[in-house]
Amino acid sequence: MNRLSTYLLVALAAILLLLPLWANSGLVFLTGTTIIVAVFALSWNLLFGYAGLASFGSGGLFSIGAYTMAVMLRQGYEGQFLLLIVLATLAGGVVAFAIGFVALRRSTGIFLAILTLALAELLRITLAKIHWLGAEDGIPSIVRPTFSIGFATVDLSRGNSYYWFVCIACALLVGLTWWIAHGRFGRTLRTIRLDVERAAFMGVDTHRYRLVAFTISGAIAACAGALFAPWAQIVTPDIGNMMRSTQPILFTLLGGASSFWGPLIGAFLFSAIEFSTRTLVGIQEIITGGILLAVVLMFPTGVAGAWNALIAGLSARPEPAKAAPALQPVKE
Amino acid sequence: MRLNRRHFLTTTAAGIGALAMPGILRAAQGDTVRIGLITTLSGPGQLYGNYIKDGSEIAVERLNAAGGVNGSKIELVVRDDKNSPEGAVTAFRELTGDGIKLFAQGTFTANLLGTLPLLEEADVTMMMVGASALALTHEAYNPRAFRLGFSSPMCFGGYGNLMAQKHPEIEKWAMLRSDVTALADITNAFSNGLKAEKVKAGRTVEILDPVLVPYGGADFRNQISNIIGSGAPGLFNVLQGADAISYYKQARTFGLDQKFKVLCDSANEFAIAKAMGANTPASLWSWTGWYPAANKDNAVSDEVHKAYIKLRGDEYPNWYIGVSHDSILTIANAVQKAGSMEAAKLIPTIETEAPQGALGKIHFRKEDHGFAGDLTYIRFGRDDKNANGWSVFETAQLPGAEFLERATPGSKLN
Repeated sequence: MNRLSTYLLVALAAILLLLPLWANSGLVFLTGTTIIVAVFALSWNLLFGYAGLASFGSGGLFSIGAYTMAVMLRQGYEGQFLLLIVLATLAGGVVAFAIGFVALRRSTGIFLAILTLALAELLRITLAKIHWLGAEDGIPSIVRPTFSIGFATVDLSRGNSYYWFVCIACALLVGLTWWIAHGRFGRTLRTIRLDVERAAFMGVDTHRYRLVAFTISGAIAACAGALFAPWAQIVTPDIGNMMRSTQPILFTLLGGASSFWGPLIGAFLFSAIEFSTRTLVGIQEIITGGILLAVVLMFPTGVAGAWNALIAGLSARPEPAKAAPALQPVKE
Repeated sequence: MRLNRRHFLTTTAAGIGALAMPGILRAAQGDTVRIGLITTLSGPGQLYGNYIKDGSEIAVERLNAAGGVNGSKIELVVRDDKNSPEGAVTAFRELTGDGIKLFAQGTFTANLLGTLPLLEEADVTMMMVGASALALTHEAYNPRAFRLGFSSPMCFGGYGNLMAQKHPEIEKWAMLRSDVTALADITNAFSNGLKAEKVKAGRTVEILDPVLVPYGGADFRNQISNIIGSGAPGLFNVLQGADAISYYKQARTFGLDQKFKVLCDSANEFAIAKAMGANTPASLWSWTGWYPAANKDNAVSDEVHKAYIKLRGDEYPNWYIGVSHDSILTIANAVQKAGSMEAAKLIPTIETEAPQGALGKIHFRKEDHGFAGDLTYIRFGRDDKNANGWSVFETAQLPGAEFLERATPGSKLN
């Protein structure tokens, strides 16, 4: 990452942290939601951009995390909130492992995409029929917890404290994902994505690596869902619907699949477009869709790719860098 | 001009700031009474959201033409809930952040359940437009919210009661519905209403187990055959929307309307007649939340009806038009009477006032803020003499308060 991009990242982080001090509460809520779904999109791109696997059912894993958190908080376990996040993350990881264990041996590409989509829909329909989980109306009035960390009590129910908690938790998740993506594991995944037969020939257990990536991605998606439940204070079966599963794909295409930061950029850009067109009732979808179409057509490598090209142009090199195809190895 | 890093950053920051400024800064309140309307204006629910928006805008236009509220104009600030609780919460938080204290919200229960826990923190008053779910006035009851909608026990209990009165000779009823909880609630309420009236009249009634059809299904012929073979002279259909249209089209080939003495539809009202035209069943009862012709002596209803015809050119408005109009009218009336927009003053005012709306007198039960207005039922059917191919033959009204379920604010109705 170049110095200018680093400055921008730090500035964005500072703006996000200070947002509640000056912004409308609607914008704060939307930003908090965007931060969470940006991490969710990042988890999806760990699969797509690094392991070369496309899941269309990531919304299901998001809803597993959200429902686990909602149910446990309803049962009165708010004092163990940090453990609940771990529990929800594990729940998503276990389900993702089970699906991946069966599915990854037999299907990749479009077959895996359709299979995961079908499983997520099955989960949504099942949730809508379970009365103990509120059926179609879901679980409302989820509390934002107060819990003890030994030497102090953390009260997330007051003011904007949960927003800051979300910021910190998501920053940790981004850091963890960065570490995974840029370590030996991430590099091996990229090798598999570029040429699976060659990687296998070199002695890489490609199935095992993909299964671990599938599990980690599912666990992070569920963790994002667990953070989301007390944020929205309601979960419904639609929290994991097809629109939710489409979100990370859209964000990644918009921001750029070939960049680690692409899904985050896409998420914030999409929310900014939606927020600034919110009063244009009736034509909002047309404008949003038009902008997205234009961006995707004009910048095949996403906004991150275009940004990198712009920086390369500004840095007065003799020849401007050529845009990379969408599925080139991940650049930072 | 050479673009250096500083110029680029400054220009970009200024551009983003200028674009975002009007939306993100806290807006100052002017000399207007601002009412936030949160409804579904995209996705599958937008049909109803558009009715709610139209009805609310008609109310604002009428009220402003009459001088507004204590000299202040009413401004409606409309937001789309994107058919999701998080969309509703985003819109709600944005509008409360802008200082709005008065809200009307509909259509889906889950979206209302998303915003209800936030009312106290934001210190606002809300009208729940057209909402029917029991949870809203029972386990999820919030003293700052009023339901201007009809619960299932109220409108379908009343419906069963009306049918028992109109057709005491019918002692056997068949029912048709999908396997969905909300629709089961409707058939149960109708059965209870029928039985209660029959018991009062010293008669008995047999209610057959509902024939179930797949939700979102397209082929209902087997189920129609079963119903015809039941031997019941009365039929209550609880299919809704597109399912109902397919069902009535297929039922026509079986001559369903000739096989039953009384055909009742739960709540599709004119949607069936508008879709089927001259193929509408010969005679069909339906519940409706508002039918202008049933309120002949109600000047407000007449004015709203005329305003809607002027707006959309449709002589048969959906009942959401009347309900949403009256939601805005109730808020405006309360602000006028209380001389304040504070929830602490508005809530007792709404509880005690009964302004004249399109639906009639708008009053709420104090205990749980459930709407206690009149119930309207219509009978319409095929009419070759009418250019539409159908006509309304008969209307009936019942006092809704008599059929309201027991008030249990804060706990589930058993």
